[in-house]
Amino acid sequence: MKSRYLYNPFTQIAGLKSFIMGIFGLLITTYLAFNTGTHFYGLLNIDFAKDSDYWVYLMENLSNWLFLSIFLYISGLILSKSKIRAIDTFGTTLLSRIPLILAPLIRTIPLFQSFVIGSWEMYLIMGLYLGSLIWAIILLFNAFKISCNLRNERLIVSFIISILLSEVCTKLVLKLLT
Amino acid sequence: MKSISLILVACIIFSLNSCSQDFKKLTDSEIDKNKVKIAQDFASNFLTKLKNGEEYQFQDKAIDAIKNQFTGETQKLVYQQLKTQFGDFQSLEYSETWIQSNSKYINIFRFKGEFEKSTKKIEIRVVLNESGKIAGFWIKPWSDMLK
Repeated sequence: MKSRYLYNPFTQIAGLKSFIMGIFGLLITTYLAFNTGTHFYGLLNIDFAKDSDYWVYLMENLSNWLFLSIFLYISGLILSKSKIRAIDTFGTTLLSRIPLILAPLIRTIPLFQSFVIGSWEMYLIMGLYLGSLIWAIILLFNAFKISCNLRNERLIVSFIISILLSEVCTKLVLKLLT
Repeated sequence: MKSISLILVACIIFSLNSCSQDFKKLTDSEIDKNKVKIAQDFASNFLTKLKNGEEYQFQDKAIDAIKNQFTGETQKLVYQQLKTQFGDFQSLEYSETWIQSNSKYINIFRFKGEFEKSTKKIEIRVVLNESGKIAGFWIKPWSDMLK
């Protein structure tokens, strides 16, 4: 496997294929998040608490993906001169979230299920999450760049604004629902 | 070069580990089931009494500091705040036991409580001292990270 696939598989995988792979990844991530009590409050916020029903974890993962996809798609419609497809934006955005599986995956090990604040277990999980987050953002950036065919300032500014808006909307929706 | 990196990583892990190992989670075989029952009965009775508008009588089940802190008036006030925030108390279930590394006789029992309005489980924490008396009691949102 070429290393390029790790940070930019979207020249090969897009459309319905990325959507199906992404849905599969989202369902596994949600299942592990529920079993280990790993909350994703948006893309940039994680918490550890086995305190909720399955639907809460599902909403956390679904809402952030949907908001992020909607804002990225709108940005593409406004700023891109190319014809863009919703399935590409929604599918590749979904696929970009796959690295986030790492934090709930490591928490299946009993040692990482509950721990003391400031312990090495906490730092290890946070380090792993940070790494997976950076990886997911790189994937997301490349997904947006390719699916919406944007470049330079338009690409960077609209990408940052979309992430920030999706974070705010996700938190608002989760606050209302839970 | 490789061995220096390994030593550095080991030092970092050791320093992180040494600054935070004040508590230890007990395995199932290490847990004193009788103490769990004492803590569970206390938490459940305390919250049920308050829910019914009654006052909980500690008698000799708690240390003096707890008795002085949770007067009848304070109990009413505490439950009112809980009710406003999470709704009425429904039930609780045992989750885990921790001890302080330097004093294995202090037991920290964590229960997950269900409240009427809350979609999330709430932590009910009871601390028992070496003589099995209640030495601490907290109610707060559940976290897998012990604070």
